[in-house]
Amino acid sequence: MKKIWLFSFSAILALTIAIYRKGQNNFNQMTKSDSRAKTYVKSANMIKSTPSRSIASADSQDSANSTNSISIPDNYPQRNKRILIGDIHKKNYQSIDTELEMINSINPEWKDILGSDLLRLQDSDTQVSIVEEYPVIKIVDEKGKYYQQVHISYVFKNGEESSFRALVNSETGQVEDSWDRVIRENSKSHRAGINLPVKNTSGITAH
Amino acid sequence: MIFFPKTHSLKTLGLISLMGIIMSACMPSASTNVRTRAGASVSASSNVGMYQGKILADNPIILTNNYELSDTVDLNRLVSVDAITSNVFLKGGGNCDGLDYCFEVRQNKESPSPLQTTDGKWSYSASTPEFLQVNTFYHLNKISELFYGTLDSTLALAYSGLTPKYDTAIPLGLKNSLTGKYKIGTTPLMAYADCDTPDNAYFKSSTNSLCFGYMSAYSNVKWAQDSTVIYHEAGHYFQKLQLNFRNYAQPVKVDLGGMSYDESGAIGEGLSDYYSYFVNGRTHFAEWAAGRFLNSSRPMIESDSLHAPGISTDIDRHLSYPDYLDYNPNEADVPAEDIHVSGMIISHYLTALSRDLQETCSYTKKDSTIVITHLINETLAELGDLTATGTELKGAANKINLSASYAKDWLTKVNPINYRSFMQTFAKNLKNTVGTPSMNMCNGNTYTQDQIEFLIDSYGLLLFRTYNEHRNLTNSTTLVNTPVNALNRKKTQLINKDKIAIDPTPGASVAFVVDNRDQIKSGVASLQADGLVTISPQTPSDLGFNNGNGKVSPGEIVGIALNLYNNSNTVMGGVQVLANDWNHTDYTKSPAYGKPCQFPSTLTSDKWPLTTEGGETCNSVDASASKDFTPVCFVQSSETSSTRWVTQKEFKNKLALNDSLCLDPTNDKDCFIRALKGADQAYYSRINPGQTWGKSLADPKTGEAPLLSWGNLILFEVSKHIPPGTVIDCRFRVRFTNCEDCYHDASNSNNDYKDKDYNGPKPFKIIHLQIPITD
Repeated sequence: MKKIWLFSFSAILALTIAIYRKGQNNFNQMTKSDSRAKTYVKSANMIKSTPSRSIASADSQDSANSTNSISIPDNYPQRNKRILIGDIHKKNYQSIDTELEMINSINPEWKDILGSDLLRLQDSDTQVSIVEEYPVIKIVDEKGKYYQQVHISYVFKNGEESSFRALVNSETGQVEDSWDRVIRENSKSHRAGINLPVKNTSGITAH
Repeated sequence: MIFFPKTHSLKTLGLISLMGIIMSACMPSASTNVRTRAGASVSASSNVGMYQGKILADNPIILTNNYELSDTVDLNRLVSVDAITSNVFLKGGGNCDGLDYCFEVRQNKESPSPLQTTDGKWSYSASTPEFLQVNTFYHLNKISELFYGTLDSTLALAYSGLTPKYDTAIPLGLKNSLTGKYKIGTTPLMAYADCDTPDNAYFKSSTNSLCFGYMSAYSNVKWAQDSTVIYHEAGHYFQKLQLNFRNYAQPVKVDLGGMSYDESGAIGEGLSDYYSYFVNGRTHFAEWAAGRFLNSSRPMIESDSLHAPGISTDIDRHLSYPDYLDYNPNEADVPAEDIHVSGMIISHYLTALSRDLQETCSYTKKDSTIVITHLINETLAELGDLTATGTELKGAANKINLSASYAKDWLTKVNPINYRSFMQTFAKNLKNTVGTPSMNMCNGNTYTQDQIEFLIDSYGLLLFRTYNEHRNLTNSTTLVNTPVNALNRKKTQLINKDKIAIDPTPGASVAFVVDNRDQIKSGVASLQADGLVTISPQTPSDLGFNNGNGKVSPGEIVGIALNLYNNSNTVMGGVQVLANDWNHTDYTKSPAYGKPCQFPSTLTSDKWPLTTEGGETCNSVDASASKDFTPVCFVQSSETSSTRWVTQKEFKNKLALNDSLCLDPTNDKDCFIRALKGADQAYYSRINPGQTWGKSLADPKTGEAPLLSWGNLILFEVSKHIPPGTVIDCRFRVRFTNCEDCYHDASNSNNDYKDKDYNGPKPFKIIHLQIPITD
């Protein structure tokens, strides 16, 4: 009997809080489970435009990155607690004495911009979670570019899921590289079925 | 009125309530304890010893030899007893560095922990979720032990101490010399044996998890009841490891295949089918889960009764490339552009090689599969190298996949893994090991180069002219790639790249445009959910400019499919259209807007554009920096006395458009129109001689054209700021896999092109589309 009372009381309390919080957030909203993970849900009246791409000043970069909370495996080359990838062998980029020009900066809102972008073409009730994995610097043309490696997972209204890893431009919040996609045995259900148009009416010509 | 506290207080209350629920759930209650419910308890365990359990040794069709087996069969009649694990939980494998175990099995994603034994036994009724978990564990353990055992063999074969015995791609650093374990990642493989997914099983690479679902029409039938499916899906996981063996010291990895049809995805499916053969030695995959109920099991030998008449193990009746790329043995009359059926060419070749090695080298079947898996280890490790080094002896910086900066682009589109590159590298490794007498791997016999080539050719896969031992060869005098014996190329046919063209039939469409709002929205959403495309903030989320009129209009996202035609007498396989950035703009002249290159005839027959039309002669395709890669599309600019083709940057300047109004405000090179990265290539499995792709894959009974998939379309994003009436010229690069002059150069001893050659036009047929922007 005690058990039933305890269960009922707890369940009612949890339900009430959940309903109240849902009422507060009736449009596109995120829940924050820890400092590295955020979940975004698309609701019917989501704001259609993406957030403005405000760019952080160089001064805000330290506060914007969360390198202190993420442990990087020892076997990955690093610079300033960020993993180095790309053409990293031309110079000793691991040493901070080696000059490295950065071609982008870190926008503290990169994750929110990403969350909004990832949802803006999805159907209502689609949920996307973004989990920060590593802060990264990619060396291209002997210059550095800030990225965040993230794990992105979708849950769609019908319960289906999709997930991948990505390198996200720390300034624009855009996915620039991705891998670790799902491989399905029965892929027929995931094929797009578009009829081959009967005739070209576009005016396109070839040469 | 109820008082609601502030957020932190809410959290506290929520926590308390949650604790309450948990505590209430933890209170002993015999009637709700899952481990005591009927059927779930250890059943009939008198014959089951400690650490043993009940399993299905193979799938129910094979165990009963009844191919019409009912979905309601009592599987308890088919189970046998075998060792499971002495662990308390279903966790196994001790070869993974930094991990306590390599894999674990749970019922589903909601399960808080792996199944636990209370008495050291794993015996459950075959109708329970617990049985599925034990069965999955048993077979996962089986393939896992084989895989890591083979990896041990690979290192033993490849190295004498610290010295490579041949040009191996397996880095010694893959194995932690202190622990003797492999650096395969930071998370174990997780298998969900009773996954809540209808009619499917999958490998979710981002979480290293396998999901074995159920049949929606037959609730008793589960994918985890079929051991071949467990081997196949685990095979995808092992391929991920193999492809990234050389990438262990970096977090970024590469996949085998994209979202839609491509040849690397097909090879991945073929290899996964082979993994089933690797474990059980049987040449058929998924008779129960896929075959009995979804009509989609797959054979791995030509003598299988499922095959259509005419296919046999006779050397000239093999399942050959490219004729059988779209052949589905379950519905042989209807072409199917699907990686699973295309992959059968590889699985059939590999089991044929297994038989050949058994015969020539007196191997047991098991030995032959270990050697073949070793060769797959080597091949995928080399091809997947994002460090751009390739191998241990001949490898060096920028030896494969161009460079560490661009390796991902090279691997996914510019020079991706296809049937040619896979077979060339596989053949090289076969020749370097079993085919090298001094390696002493053929039990005193010799597996000759002719034998290697003879079998590969019988599958239409002798698509290469040399073994390309010296990638990116710069001095062909001192270093010589072993040539393929031309006399061995009997079945494989190579076609000149000029034979691919736009359909020349009078009145035929040049290209097809898809701009229906709902279709494009669905496609972009789907590609985005796989991490493939990002659209400009300028494009409205409702794709409001997409008007569905079949034309290219300002503000739209459109899908374009070229109406390609095979103007040869041979089937073309692996047709790829590239719309990614490449080196075809000259920046040496001032002002530095860039001018479209006109290349010399030594590089391409494409003469566009004439210098009087804005072209600038470009003799080199060397690219020293990312700025050298430019978008595929130029713009026609009307001048006072003529028209010129100009870069988008110059056109933007002419219109005095602010950078902030470009599709990407940080990049004015593709200010007005851009192929969406991730959807900037189109793939077509096969085009028959004298036909288009649509004709080649049409249903022969109805004549209906195949449906387009997203992989058949290139997606372009068009700026809303582009004036209607503007004409765009997009210079596409097109090639196919069985191409004579797309991968090797007859004028250079048939050596493969260097990676940097793929910066430019030489390995491709150039096809232009001129696209009017219509309001």
